[in-house]
Amino acid sequence: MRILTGYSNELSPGIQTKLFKYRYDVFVNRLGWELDTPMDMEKDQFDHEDTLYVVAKDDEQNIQGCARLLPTTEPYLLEEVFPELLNGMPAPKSNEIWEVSRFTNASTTDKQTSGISVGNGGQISEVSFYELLKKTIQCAKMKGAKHLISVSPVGIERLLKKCKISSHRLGPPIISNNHAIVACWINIEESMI
Amino acid sequence: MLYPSENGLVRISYQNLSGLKFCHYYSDLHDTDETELELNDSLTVLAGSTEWISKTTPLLSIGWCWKLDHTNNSIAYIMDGEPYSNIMIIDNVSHRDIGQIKTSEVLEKFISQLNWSDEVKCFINEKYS
Repeated sequence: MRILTGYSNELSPGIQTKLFKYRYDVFVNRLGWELDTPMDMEKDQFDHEDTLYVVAKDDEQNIQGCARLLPTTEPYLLEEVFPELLNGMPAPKSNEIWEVSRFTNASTTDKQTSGISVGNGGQISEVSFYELLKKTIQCAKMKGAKHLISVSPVGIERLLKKCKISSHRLGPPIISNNHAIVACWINIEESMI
Repeated sequence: MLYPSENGLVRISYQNLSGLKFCHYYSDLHDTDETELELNDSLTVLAGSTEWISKTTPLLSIGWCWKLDHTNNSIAYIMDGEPYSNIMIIDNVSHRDIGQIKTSEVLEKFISQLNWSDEVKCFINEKYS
């Protein structure tokens, strides 16, 4: 398993295509998210040249996990699409705060669906939630981030707590696509890098 | 007066929190792959989560996981794990943060005083009937 990071112009066209197809499979096909996206390729207005990607590939070059990072100094998902999750707080705008979205470690062989998109453990082709999150945090930290924010299913809070990652919610969840989603604030601490 | 800080946490003393009314907002069973299905004398262990909110501006939000407890030949909903919230409890005198760990303990105490299990039971039964 290899986890690579980079802006869109740093990823090969082949990887980018595989990434968007993987995201379509996970988020549209398996989780049933109603997204306005081309058929078979999940990408939106937040996939652009300033988007940073984290991609986990197995030895067969299949994508087994991914994450997307956006600086809050530019438009981002929580601000533009789910501002109600901010609970009245102004949308953060800082080089030290990045948004993580489209985070999943669902294996391409994982047939189960989950609001959290967590794959089963024990298979060598899979990347663990913690491994992928750690790499995502490292990537953001290298760009100056001290905190991450995200819009996630409420189950993410349990996983963050299990991984002993300092975090809290920004307000009550809302129900979207039959799933309860919440905005999370994650503190990047030295101990987790 | 309540307001969200720059990291979203709303600071409040336990004394003030205790005076607030919280309402049930939403409950659900955990997704199938997370739910423990344990067959033991024909009993199935179920688990889920529940969300409660205040009637303040900004909203105070507390969520926690629960599970059914089958001991003593009775079935009860019990809290499972720590609560999740946008609350930071402050000391009533110094007005300083008591920290995440102590806040979590205080919120568990607050939750234990809510009559939440009946509300959750009714909501879940209605949702899945």
